[in-house]
Amino acid sequence: MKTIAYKIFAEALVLFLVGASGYLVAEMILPGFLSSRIGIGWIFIGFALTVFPMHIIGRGVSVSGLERRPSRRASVALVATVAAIAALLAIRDVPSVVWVSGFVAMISSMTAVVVILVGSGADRRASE
Amino acid sequence: MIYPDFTPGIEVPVSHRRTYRLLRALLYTVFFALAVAFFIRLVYFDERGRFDFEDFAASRNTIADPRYADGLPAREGRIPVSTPMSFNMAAPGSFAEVEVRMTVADGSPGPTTVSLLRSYRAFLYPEGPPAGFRDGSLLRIGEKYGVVSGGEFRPFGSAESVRSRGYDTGAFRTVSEAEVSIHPSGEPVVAGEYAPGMIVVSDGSYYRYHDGRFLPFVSGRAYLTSYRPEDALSVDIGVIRQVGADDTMIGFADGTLISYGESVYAVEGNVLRPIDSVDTFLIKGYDWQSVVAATGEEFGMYERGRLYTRKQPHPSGTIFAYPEENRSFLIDSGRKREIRGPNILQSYGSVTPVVVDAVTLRAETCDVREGFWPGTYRCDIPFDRLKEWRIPEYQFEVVAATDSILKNVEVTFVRSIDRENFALFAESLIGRLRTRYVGE
Repeated sequence: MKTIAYKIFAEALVLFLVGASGYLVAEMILPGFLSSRIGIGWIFIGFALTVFPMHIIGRGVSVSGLERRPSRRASVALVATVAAIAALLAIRDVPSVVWVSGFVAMISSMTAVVVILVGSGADRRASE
Repeated sequence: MIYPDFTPGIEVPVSHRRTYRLLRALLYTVFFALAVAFFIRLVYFDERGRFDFEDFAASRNTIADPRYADGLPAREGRIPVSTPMSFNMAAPGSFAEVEVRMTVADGSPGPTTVSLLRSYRAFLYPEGPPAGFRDGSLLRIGEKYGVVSGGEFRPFGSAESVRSRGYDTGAFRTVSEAEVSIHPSGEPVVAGEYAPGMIVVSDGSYYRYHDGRFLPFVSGRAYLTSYRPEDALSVDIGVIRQVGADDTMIGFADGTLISYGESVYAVEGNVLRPIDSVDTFLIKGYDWQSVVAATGEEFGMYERGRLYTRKQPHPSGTIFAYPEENRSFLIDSGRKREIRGPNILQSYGSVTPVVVDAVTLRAETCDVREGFWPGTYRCDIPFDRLKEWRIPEYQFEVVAATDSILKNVEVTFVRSIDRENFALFAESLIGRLRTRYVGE
């Protein structure tokens, strides 16, 4: 069941990233139009709801036949990303260009965290 | 497999594949349900406003100017008995209801009622004296000729004396006694005198006499937003030199909308108020056709004023028109002045009026009740009777039976799912795309 849960959350994370990227593209085409209607806080909630369970239940799941062991680096990156998103959300009175750049950085770091979460344990075991 | 496997590296044991498929179907169902829910939220988004009285000047306060009847700001959120607190909010579209949520200070009782009025804030200004002609306007009643100067009607005397001043008697606007009676009678203009406000033209440039000097208009078309060409007395340039011309220039009439670069500005005195967004422009009831593209010289003569957002009322110079009863009003320094008379209205003709669909405004009221959490109060205002009007601005009035102190107030206009709101969304989306990428 742990493997199924991990796989489901991983897929949920991928779907979330597809949606978040769509949000980003729409926000870049028309800054403020989407975010004024659907707050950027939903991105934060979606990210937290998918990535945290995945991180917590991920230990010991077999990825490509190798047991996954999330590294400390992944945990630090995750916490740092969440803190960065929270900071970005807290600062509302910034020009839209800062918002868009911050948003690009946010999606990039979220993707990086996913790569680390899914791959790090397996990579590390493979190299040992 | 209908859906691609995003995680092929993680293998599910054969015994659990059925459970996995079920959970996966559930995941996709939730995902698409959320996508639909977000789409509905995007198209039919609720309009929310908030004001935090503990941080009065915060820019995140989207409700405009909580205040008392005398205009003083309600800084600490106090609502004394018999002194209601008012505030405003803009919300375009049609709605199902309006929810008002309030949190009071520790130990404070809650307010008792909240009433809602659908109207532009400036249109609710206290009524001032009727608006008259601008200074410098040449008027004629029967055989009596005169000029408006310092708000007074100052006669020239006979037609002969008018002609001896160099005026063509045909240049005087024929008006009614009632229209002129708005202006108190002043001293006759004596021969050779330039009354304050009088207009002259020399070598194609227009000037207004003020404080012993001639103030030039920045351009001919700026002049034409306030006066007719025939209001100006043609004089030799020597007269201008002899009297002296000031460096201070006169621009467009108050209330004129001008564009420069990608921005649109409202003229208010010698200040330009930059309109912050397309939404604000539309909420204020302006017409794109009425925007005048300014030259660098015209634009450069103004100071930049504070941003004109949806929270701010219409500036001085705005004309409100109520076509159903053929009535018009001028906004002038926090007062609403009725324009009584077709000739006076014509003299403000360069400013495109903002149309209102009611003069006598109707209010909806709700009784405040306690909310779920201690110290919170709420009331829901039905919107049915307000639906027939189109003005997208609202004024709230909160009344308390015993002295009450608010910590914050939140207002939600719950949007109804209907064709009008979908059209509003589509219009807003297309308008923004055109503004951003086509430059219209």
